[in-house]
Amino acid sequence: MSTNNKLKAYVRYDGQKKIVPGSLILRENKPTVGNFVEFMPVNLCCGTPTVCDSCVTLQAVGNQYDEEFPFGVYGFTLETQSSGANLTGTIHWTTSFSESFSLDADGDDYDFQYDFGDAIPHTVLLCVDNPSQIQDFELGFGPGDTTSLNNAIALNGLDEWDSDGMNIYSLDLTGLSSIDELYHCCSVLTHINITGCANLNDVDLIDNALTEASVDHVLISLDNYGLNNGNVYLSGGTNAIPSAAGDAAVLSLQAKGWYVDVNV
Amino acid sequence: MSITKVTPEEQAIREAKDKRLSDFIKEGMTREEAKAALEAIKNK
Repeated sequence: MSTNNKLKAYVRYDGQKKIVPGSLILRENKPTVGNFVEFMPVNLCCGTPTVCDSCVTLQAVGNQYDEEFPFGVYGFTLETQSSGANLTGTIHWTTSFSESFSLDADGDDYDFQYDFGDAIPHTVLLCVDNPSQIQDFELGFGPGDTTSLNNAIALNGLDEWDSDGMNIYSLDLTGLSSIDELYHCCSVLTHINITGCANLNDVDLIDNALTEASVDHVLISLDNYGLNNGNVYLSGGTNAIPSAAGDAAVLSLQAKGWYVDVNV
Repeated sequence: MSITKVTPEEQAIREAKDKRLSDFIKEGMTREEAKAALEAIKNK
């Protein structure tokens, strides 16, 4: 196999500080036209199997998007439940810097932020001892961008998922049976898996790029979960029009009092 | 320390801005009306 170690990977950022889909290029030098940032290789392994099982893995990119902004801050927010035990866990920002936390169950927001000092992807591990003490996981509230996420099941127990605007192409929430609200609007989301998310009654995936299979999957899954009087928004962007099977699920949901908003 | 509690003042600002298109559609607006309302909040 031939290799060329001189080549580097670059991605382009637009005026809203988002990665331009499809802009990844390999070349020896940084392009002079456009706002390109080097995209370094990342280690997707999260260490020991125990850590992998109990933590959600985030690919985090700090908010440095041009050379005039010499910081790379990334963050998100956790809203705690308003009663019960403290929310406890550990966050591994890097392989050499971790923090343990114990947050009051006071219903308030807690910001998690770290300055990577650059704008390349870093693997962050969020390990929560008692996810049922999370009211809302607000990925979209912090600076920077989350470009992928793995092992969401490690957060099963939380109520609300909010990753609006994050540049995630594929979101696998399999097994998150606790969530009743799911918000991921206005981005590049193409695939989603909500298998086992049987308590969802408010889903907003407006203005994404969901495939027909994903749109159908959401509609059919929600229909199969059998809840009444929910809301599901799948319109806008380039979200696909449901197939005949998806349309059947739309009718069934509407018969159960759901508000259903899809592209037609 | 990189974990901080959000102040009540900041919390109030966030809650005022934490609106999504579907919130306005739920209130009975059309998609176009909702977009305009959302834009107005973001530009405040």
